[in-house]
Amino acid sequence: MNPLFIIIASLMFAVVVFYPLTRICARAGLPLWSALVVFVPIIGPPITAYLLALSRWPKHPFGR
Amino acid sequence: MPLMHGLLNLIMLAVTIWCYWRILNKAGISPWWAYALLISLAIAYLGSIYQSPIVLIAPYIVPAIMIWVFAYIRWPSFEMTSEAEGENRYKRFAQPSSDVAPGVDPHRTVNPKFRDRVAEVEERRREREEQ
Repeated sequence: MNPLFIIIASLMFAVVVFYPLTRICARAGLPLWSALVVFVPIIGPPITAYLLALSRWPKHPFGR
Repeated sequence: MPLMHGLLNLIMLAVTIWCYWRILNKAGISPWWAYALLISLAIAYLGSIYQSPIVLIAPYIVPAIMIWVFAYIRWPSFEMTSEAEGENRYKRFAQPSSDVAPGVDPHRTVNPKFRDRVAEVEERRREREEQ
């Protein structure tokens, strides 16, 4: 499998989910750059998931 | 080599499910929805059987749908109630309210501060009656 195809698929995914990710970050009180990370090919989407899962959400009622 | 690649993908999927589990938990949604990511595995399997190019985007279809849904649904952890105030203002963690007076409900304990205050008032009333 050509790695270029995987990179293109990853970028397509980033374009599709970027808008809802900005919305999620805004609702959670996280900065916009954590949504922008999704544009890093291949490793971007999992890194965004780690950021959302492991960081403290400033707007969360109990600061989780 | 393909076995190693498949194994790495499975590890990646497991870690992603764990991340989604935590995210859903924070939002107050049932974290079991994270296991919907396993559908990606089925799509990739079917795509490989039919040698379809969908295999390339198979790992991204379900997460993309889940992210879109998650961005727009309500997050129960973030919801406030109009009845409760202060630390109990969030529905999920709010104390159950009761219309029954404290003295009538045997399971309700009275705050010691209030108990002292009641005793004080009672004592004053008794003194007034004696006079």
